Amino acid sequence: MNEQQRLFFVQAESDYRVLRLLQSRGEPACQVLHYLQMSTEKLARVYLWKQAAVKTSHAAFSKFLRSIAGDDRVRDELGYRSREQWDAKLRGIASLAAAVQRLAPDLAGDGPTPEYPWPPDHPTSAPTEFEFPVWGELQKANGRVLLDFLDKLFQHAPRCF
Amino acid sequence: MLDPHQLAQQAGLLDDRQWRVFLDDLSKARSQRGRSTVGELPPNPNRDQVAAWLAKKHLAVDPGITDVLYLPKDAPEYEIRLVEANTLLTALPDEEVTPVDFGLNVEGLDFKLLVLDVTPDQWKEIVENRSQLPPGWILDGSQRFGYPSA
Repeated sequence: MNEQQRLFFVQAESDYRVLRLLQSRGEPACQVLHYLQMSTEKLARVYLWKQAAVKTSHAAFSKFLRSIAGDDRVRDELGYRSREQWDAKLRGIASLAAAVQRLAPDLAGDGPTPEYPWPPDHPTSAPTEFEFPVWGELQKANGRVLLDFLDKLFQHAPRCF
Repeated sequence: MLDPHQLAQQAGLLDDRQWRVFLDDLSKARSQRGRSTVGELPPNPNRDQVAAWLAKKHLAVDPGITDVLYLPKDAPEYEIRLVEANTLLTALPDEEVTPVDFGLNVEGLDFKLLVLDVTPDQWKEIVENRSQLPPGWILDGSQRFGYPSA
């Protein structure tokens, strides 16, 4: 990792630890989702900083998944021996990952975000009172698969990003 | 079945929660549609084969990607240039659209992969030749990959 990558990694890891802490304490969904969105965006930027400066943050997580689809080093490090298994894993989490990414204020438009009441110009709803559909998805098998994959990425990133 | 315009008008009537469910289901449906097996590369693949393989992978892995253009003309021998239409992108005012080096790392391949992510509107301008691509990127001789028609 270069220095820019290291800086983003320590911050992403810190966000992720807070996410797991909030989750274990049963804190409101919006807070867990906020940290999930932030930690995945920063983790993506750790990887993307490998090549060059990353000017934009939006859609970084999906960009990251596309990038590691063609990275044998990351695949090997995470223990996927065949490219078919690797593709299947990435495809399996893609739509949930996109839903997490859409929680970012710059992608949410006037819609719900876990961070601020909305719509921005005339708020009528607050995140803590809102039932986020993506939260329901995270409680299901696919959500556990995504979080397990993120655990592995955070564990192995220092060696393969 | 509703056409895209009618579908958009209906979707505009949804409340906040229904809108979130709609977006998530839309992305799920879209990613299911692209789930054909990408398959392995042939032995000693050439640049065109690698580009096609990567384009299909990106369509399969990212539900935001709807179309991919491969631009081989005048590209350096070991450089793969892809333009990808991404429905998850929002164009920001005065934001420069620049290709990102994806850091391709596949054993036996020695190609540099550059990806230009664009919004659907920017994509339309590019394919209609109304928008400038990065310097040296040429639309002539491009190859398009996308979801098969329903």
